[in-house]
Amino acid sequence: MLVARAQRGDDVAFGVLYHRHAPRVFALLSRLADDESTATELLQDTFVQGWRALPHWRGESALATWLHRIAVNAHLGALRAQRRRDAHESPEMELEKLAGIAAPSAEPGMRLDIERTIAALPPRMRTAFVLRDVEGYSYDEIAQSTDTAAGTVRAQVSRARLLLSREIER
Amino acid sequence: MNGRPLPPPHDSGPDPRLRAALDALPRERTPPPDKWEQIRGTLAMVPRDGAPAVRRRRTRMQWTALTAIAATLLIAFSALASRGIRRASSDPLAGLSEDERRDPRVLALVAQTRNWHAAANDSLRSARWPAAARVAVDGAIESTNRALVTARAALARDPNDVTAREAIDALRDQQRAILQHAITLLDDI
Repeated sequence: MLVARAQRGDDVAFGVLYHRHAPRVFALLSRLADDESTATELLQDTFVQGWRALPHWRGESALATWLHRIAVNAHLGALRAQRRRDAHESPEMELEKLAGIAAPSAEPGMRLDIERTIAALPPRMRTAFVLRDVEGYSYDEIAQSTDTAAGTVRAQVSRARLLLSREIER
Repeated sequence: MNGRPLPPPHDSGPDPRLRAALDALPRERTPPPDKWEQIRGTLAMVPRDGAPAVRRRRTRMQWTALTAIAATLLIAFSALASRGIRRASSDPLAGLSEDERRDPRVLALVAQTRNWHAAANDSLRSARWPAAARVAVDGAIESTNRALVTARAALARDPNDVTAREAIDALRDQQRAILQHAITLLDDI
């Protein structure tokens, strides 16, 4: 009912859908993006894109899944734009950056430490890890979405797991 | 060697402790409270897939009225809510002249406002309403209340101010539509 109204252009109905789904989408984007400001911008992009495409949504997947996919695509688009800006930096170079990551945390709380360590990962590694181990994407899907070789994605995820496991063991 | 590519190595996933920690991560995070209003503000400008942009021709008088309403809203949004506005939002008849109390348009709005208050205060009926949606509706009503106060003040200064009179009518219609729509929508949840 709500979705049908929103599909017909009812922005109040779309507002109710926003308030229902935005917290999960924002949690995902907060993990994927570099900072809160970027996550907030991507949230806006996601729902504006959702509004634009909603007339075509036929319910093949749950609305939440559909919005998640739009959010991930918005993030990947931003990542590709950043990649073009940083064309000199290869994924392999990102791996090398990891030497400086995951300094011991003085604050207690495993969740906080893990969140912080995820946030400290290089953007493409963070994306691969979150999509694989938090969102459940396949390696092939991630490779295709990020224009990265599947082997590189596996290496990124494996390295991220190692860093996070070490963080837990601390 | 048979020339076939080697299968990808088996992925055993994160170790159990990491898996447990990831599963414990919060799945929801509250966005900034004003984000929806920002998004909503852009929706009208977004062309929708499958929905060709509708170009409506407006008359010069309509444009004048719309401009007046927009200006009134702009002024009202930037002003602080006065005590009178708060009173008006809790008692729909407060501050209305005798003429206004007989105006069918005003009476319809008063009835709709009372419907809204009754629905919002009915704990069973409003149990599933998202708090944020309710806050958004209250915010929209308060905004139009502020605009109404400004337009009514303009009309009080100049009873022949046609623009102010049209703005008041438009705002009342808008407020009634918001309330009616909100109740229908929220009851559907």
